[in-house]
Amino acid sequence: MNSQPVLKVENLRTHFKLSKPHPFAEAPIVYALDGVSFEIKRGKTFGLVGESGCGKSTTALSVLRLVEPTSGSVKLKGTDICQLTRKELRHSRRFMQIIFQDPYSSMNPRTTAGEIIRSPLKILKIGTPQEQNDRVEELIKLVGLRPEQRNLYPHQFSGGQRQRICVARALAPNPDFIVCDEPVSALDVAIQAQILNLLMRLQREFSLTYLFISHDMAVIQHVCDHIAVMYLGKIVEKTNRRSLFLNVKHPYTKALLSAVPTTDIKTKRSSAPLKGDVPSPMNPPSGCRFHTRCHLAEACCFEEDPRLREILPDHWVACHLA
Amino acid sequence: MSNTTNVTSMEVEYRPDRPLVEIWRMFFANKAAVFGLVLWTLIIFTAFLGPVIYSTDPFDLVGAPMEPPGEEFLLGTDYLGRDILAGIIHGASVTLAIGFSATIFTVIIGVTIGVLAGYYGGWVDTVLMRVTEFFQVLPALLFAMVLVSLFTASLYLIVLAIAVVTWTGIARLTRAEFMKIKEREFVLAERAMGARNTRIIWKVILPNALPPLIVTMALGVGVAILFEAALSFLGLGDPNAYSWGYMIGSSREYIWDSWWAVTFPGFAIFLTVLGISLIGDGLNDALNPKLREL
Ligand SMILES: Nc1ncnc2c1ncn2[C@@H]1O[C@H](COP(=O)(O)OP(=O)(O)OP(=O)(O)O)[C@@H](O)[C@H]1O
Ligand code: SF4
Ligand SMILES: [Mg+2]
Repeated sequence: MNSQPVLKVENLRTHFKLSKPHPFAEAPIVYALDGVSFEIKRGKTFGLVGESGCGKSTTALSVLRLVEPTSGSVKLKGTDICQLTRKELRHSRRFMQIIFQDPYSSMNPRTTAGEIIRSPLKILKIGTPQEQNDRVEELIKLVGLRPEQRNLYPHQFSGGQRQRICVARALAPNPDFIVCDEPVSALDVAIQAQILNLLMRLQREFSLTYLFISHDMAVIQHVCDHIAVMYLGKIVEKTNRRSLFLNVKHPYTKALLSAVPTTDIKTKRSSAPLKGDVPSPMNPPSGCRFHTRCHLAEACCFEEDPRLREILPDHWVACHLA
Repeated sequence: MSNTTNVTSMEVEYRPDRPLVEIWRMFFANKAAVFGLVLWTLIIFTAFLGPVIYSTDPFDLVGAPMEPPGEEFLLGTDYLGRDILAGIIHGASVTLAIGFSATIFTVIIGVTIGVLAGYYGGWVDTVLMRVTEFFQVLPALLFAMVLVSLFTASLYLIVLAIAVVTWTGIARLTRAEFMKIKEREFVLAERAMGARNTRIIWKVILPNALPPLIVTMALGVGVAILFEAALSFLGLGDPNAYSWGYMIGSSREYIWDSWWAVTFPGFAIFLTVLGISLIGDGLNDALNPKLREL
């Protein structure tokens, strides 16, 4: 089929400059996202996984230019988002949408479900009021809510229903690409599967392209075609689902997988569980950023930053020992 | 890592979106607030229908000077022989008009400055907050007096002077609310949908910032009425507008000989300001139920 990727991210960096502690100090810089590249084909789901604070949300927001990336490029269907003017950017928002972790806080509490789902159509001036109205009705059914629920306010829904509203809102302008930033992490475990299945059904129906973010390996394994493991703003391992769970190479990925209590994951080498905390992205460790927590670390790891290398076909790893 | 199950904790939190019915119920459960509402219903009734029912012109010299309250003049007459009751009734609309229009100006200035500072932040905020602080440290009444006495006193000027010295509170509150709300995720969601700043400010953030602003506006009406009374008392009121403040101001020299000429309008002002304060407090509790429990 169409082989041009819907999204192509190249060497994306986002550094946050914090305010100076005193007037003569250098402003501290958070290297939240530090050179990330990946691409996603139409109709596929690309997963980003990693611990809290490793830069997953920053990637999500940078890709949509909701925070300004420091450098790099993000090509959506061939156009570089980073080069667009504000007006052009607003215009291209109809092709890219986002679903947030906490559905309640991502909806204006003073508007009804119907108004919320309609808002992207209104903002982007898509269709006549009557057409917008019909579209809202269609979307409400599509995500499994009842038509009369459109007049209710966010607090009158359950967590799962709220996320359905957010899904409908993201779907409203008929986007090609949707970022799902931990879309089920705030939900009851029992509800998570429902929302995941909804997302996957919609993907098949509308050949949607997802950037799917989660810290939960089991969820990632369930929904993603390609997976990148992030650590301190960098991708340390990137491959397809099969190869990741079959040929896992990076010690960090292994540690993440060892925490998943499923049986069908074969970790070839034994791996130690993760110890300690993620170091601060304000002054990341020298060499391999993972060396402070890696049980395999050797002298070279402290000095040289391992490049992402293709070790097996379509299986990229950034580790000196892989 | 983020919590996976605990959504219920969010559901009991402050809900700015509770239906109006519930807000009203809470308001009416508050006896003091209901008393304030009754007072204000009476005052507004007086302002609109009073002059029709009791048509004596307050400027007319209808009786002997300084006649004490009695059968002919229920609340007595002032030093010129003007009917105090007529003054109270006709002054109600003037006083309310001043209170409301000054509050409208206060809100226009305060909200504009607060929105710009809170939403845009950075140097815009720094500059506007310096200006706000400057106005805050000025002695308000003195500054209003200077403004009014520089030009010929008219109702418009008084209203404007009151707004100029009282907008800082609204500005600071608006700024604080905007700084808080603009960080909420639904504002990010709006930007993700391509919303412009104008929409985000007026249609998304402002409605969510409204409850505390409404309370402050209500109290602002009381403050404006008191300001007008103070200016009138000092002889800086509009001599052509028969407000309660004007009544006190014109009779203050005769307070020992005709206590009624200043006491009744004073009492009217007291009840009006008390009423609006009680309403404001009641609204505050009804709109932010969480605050009351703290
Ligand atoms: N606007 C900002 N200003 C400064 N630092 C920021 C900002 N946003 C994020 N960071 C920092 O960047 C790093 C990455 O944050 P990010 O939110 O992307 O992590 P995450 O992987 O999404 O984590 P989580 O699982 O907790 O959501 C963190 O150290 C965070 O403190
Ligand atoms: S490069 Fe060295 S420190 Fe980094 S993951 Fe590989 S072994 Fe561990
Ligand atoms: Mg995140």
